[in-house]
Amino acid sequence: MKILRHIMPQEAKIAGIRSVEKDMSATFYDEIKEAANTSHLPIKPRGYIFFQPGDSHDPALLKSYLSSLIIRIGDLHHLQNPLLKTIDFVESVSSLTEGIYLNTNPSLLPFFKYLFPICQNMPISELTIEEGILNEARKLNASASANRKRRRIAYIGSGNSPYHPRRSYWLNSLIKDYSETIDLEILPSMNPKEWLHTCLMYSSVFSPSLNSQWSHNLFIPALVGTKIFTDSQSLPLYSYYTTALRRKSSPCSYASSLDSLVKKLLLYCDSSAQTYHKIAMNACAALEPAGVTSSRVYENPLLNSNIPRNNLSQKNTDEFIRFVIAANIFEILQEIARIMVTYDMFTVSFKTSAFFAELSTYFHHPRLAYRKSGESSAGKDMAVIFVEGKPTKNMLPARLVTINVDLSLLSHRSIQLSSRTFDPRKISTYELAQRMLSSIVGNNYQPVVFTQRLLEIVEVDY
Amino acid sequence: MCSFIFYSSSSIRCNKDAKLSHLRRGPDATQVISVNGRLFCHNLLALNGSHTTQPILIESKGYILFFNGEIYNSDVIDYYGGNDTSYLIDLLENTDSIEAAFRSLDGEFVICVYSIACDSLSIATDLFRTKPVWVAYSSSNDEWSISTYLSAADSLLEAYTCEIPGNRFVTINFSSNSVLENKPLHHFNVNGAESTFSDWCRLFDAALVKRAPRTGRLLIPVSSGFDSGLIAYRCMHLGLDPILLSIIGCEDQPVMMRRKEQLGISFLELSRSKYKASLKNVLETVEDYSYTKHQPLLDIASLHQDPGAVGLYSVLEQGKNLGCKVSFSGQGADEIYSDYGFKGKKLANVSSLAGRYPADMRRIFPWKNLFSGTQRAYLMKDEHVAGSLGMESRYPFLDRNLFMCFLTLPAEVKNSSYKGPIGRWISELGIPVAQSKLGFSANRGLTS
Repeated sequence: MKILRHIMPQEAKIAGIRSVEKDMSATFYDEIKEAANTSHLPIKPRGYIFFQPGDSHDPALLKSYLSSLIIRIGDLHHLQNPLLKTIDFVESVSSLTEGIYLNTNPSLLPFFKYLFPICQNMPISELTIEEGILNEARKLNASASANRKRRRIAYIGSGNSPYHPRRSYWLNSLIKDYSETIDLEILPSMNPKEWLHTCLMYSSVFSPSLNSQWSHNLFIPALVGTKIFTDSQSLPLYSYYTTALRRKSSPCSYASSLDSLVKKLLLYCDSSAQTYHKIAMNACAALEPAGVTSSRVYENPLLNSNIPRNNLSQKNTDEFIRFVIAANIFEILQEIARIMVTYDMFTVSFKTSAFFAELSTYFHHPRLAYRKSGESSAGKDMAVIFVEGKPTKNMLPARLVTINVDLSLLSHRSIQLSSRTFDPRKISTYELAQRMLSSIVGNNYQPVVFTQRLLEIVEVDY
Repeated sequence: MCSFIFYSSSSIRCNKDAKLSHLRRGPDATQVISVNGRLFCHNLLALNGSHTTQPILIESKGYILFFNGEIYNSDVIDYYGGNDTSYLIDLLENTDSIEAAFRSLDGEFVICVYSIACDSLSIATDLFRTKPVWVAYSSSNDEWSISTYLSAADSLLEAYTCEIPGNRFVTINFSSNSVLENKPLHHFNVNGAESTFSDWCRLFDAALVKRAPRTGRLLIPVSSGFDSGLIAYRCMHLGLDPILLSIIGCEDQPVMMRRKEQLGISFLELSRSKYKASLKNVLETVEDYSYTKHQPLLDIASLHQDPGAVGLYSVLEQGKNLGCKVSFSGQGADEIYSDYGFKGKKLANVSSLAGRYPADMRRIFPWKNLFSGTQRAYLMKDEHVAGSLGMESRYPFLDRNLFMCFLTLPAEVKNSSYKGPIGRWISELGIPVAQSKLGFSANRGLTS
């Protein structure tokens, strides 16, 4: 039997404490490097890499050492230049791998698939759904014990993670302002099996997305029919339920704002019992065809359809250059959305058409509305993009940044990273937003900010 | 008129012809929004001095609102200064469900609200679906298009297309590619409490007043017949100060001369060359529409073959040159009040009622031409022609309250005169009217 090895970057600071999957032997990248230099193995192992920007892997070395390689890409949501680094990485390994699976928000798939058709979505991480867990969920559902649930709302995980300010803001707002009316129970982090049995005891869970990514914690409650309250950044989890079931019992409820979340939770607390058993059987059935592939990878075919295919023959075309610039712009936008959590929505207004097509087609984010009102006659050599925070109960509308791209300088050189960075702390309303966040989450709460390096051609005005 | 195009994927590109036909309908402001990979484009016809560009992001609810048409709820005038967009935003913000908000509306509209959190689009149409809306779905790549005109669906591969009928509430979810809701917006009480002829007259005047433009002049194309005649005379009486235009060659000339004396109608002379030029414009700028798909008994198969469309184009074009952006149409009067017949005699082969209305309306409701048939065909003629000129057509006879009142009028009021209450009021007011139905055929009586 071939062994699938999880290859970990030993020195990568961010990934240093990552746990290893059950029954999967782990190898540090540095060990491979040493082994590859000193010996020739009679049987080459298969390798499995979880890549996040910051991980360092030499594709040539991996090719010489491994018989086959699967790559899973994730955690792209709160790092410096995650997209540009991933483009570089995927470009270097795409010809060497059996498969590249994006364990990110599915909205990023069109972009990566366009550039690298080998990329696929993997919405269900095998870190979360272990091999036996689907069977175990099915057994639990068959015993119908899922219908005896406490009408409380469970939350699992940290309440004030500096990496996830929006989740912290929402959770602490619920605790601070609605503890009398919304019966929320905060639970410590637990492994998938423990979480499965815990979910069985609760009628619903509150599980916001991790910035713009799906939370791993979302999949387990679906398996035992526990209703999920989450935010719109978790879309489109709906794929796991039938239309009829969604209409009848709304097993998954998405909120676009804190206000709408509160309304949904209050309404739920007053509503009649859910058909937990049906919800659970439905989610299990939907996951059935996904199953476990020979490569131990779960996938949902629904999420891989309808993706535009690229026709780029060379990566140094103008089109590729525009894609890279759009990715850098999106890194800025994504970081704004991650940090400025007291705004629910942002409008990204394009003074000219430049980059509207790329961003609107390939870089989706439920809190970003791209807006184009027609071409201005002047300044066609400049792409000018305004980013505005839409007003909320607590925040006035404000222009946050202006992004400028000098199109007359478009060249391969222009997509080199400069020494300049985008720093969200320079945004004029950052202090105000931060004060509001601290007043809810805690006086000492400071979200981690990731400055994003700008391409030579991209400029940001605050 | 306004127009919109929604594509379920931002990667779908609209073809040039579709873009142009939608743009003509809303020439004053275009905005494209993309959220979560869905694309929303709206072309606005600005009827008031100030306007709100659509699509509109309602951030408190996570909705994107865009619509075509006009809302006539009294609050729009009383509290919103005629700005129906602001009214709709507040309504959606303060109503728990989109469906409940739609159900409270009076107007001529197609309204779409996209929920970002649910990834679904809810669409509501008014009772008679006065504004066009097409849905297209391509199963080969799970793409959707929802648009004012059918041409926008051409960008989809092998798409199944259909029109959303009137009085519908439809919700489409794009994550699962499924129609979650498809049901009537309102239910009818066909045999409700009996109304009177004077109720009908009062509601007819109200239907005119609420449709009158807030700024600019109102255009009424006038024939020698009942419907536009009643509209024109009541509008003059109500002080709505319309511009009245007619192509005299098509009409009963003695009647038109008397109407000219009384109302000051301007006559448009349609020469052969002018007719040809208008026909060319219709073929090039007005999106075609199949009549016989809805009413196979019609002799004219489609809008492009209809001389009436050319005449309408000529009149509306002249009205536009005179500064009018809103026009009243008599559409619906034939279909509702006579169904092309009188006292059991069919005046056209499309008639199914032959002008005879029973005491129990449940027996005939809904008859073929009421919501479908000629109603659909001729409504879309008005819509497509006016839309191509960047004008808005409004339909007093299709007012919901007026129609509900007609349904509950006593059978003798419906049957005693040609077109029931219309004919009776024409007679009581002494309005000169052609006694035989001529139809609107602009290629009749052309000057050389």
